[in-house]
Amino acid sequence: MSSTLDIVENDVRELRSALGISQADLGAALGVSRQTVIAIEKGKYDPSLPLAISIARHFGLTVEEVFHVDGQ
Amino acid sequence: MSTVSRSLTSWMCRPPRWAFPVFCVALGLVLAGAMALGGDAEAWWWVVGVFVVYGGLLFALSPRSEVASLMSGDARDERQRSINEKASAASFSVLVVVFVLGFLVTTATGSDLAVAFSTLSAFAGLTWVTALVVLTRRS
Repeated sequence: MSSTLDIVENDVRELRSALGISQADLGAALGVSRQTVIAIEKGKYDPSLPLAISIARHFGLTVEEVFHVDGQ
Repeated sequence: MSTVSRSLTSWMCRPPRWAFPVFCVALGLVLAGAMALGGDAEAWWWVVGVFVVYGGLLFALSPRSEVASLMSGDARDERQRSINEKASAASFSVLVVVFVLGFLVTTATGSDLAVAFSTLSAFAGLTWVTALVVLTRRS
């Protein structure tokens, strides 16, 4: 069994839509590009721990409430 | 860190958009100068032209294209820096294969270029080992 967890999905798109902000706005707030926000929302890119914490804090949640690992 | 050095570091990490086309023109002029010194002065305008077009094209496309933006050295966040690092690593791997194959072929054919390929292979190997030592100590 691997000692690392693979992030399989996240709720960034839903959380962003609920706030009514664009991908570009979220990117600007987090200090990343719009393309990076798109990649995270699509699950094509797993953010680093600092960026994941920034994203979670932006929505007032914990990292585990935003990012989900396999079977959780 | 002083304000000046902090500003310089910030500028180096995130140069303004105009820096890349200016760099391209400067590189073209340097290359044209080298060609002129080598006795090929007629083609200088062609070399400068290629660099101007290259820099201008990337400058124009970089706001709309992430690839063009990365090609002009503007990696703005961790994902783009990661893409840049992976692309650099892939380029290095291809170059090493070319160097080693070039060395083998030129050695087998008795070409004088074998020395150049072996030197380049040695530089590539030393760079890799140095990078491994430095990076493992840093992290």
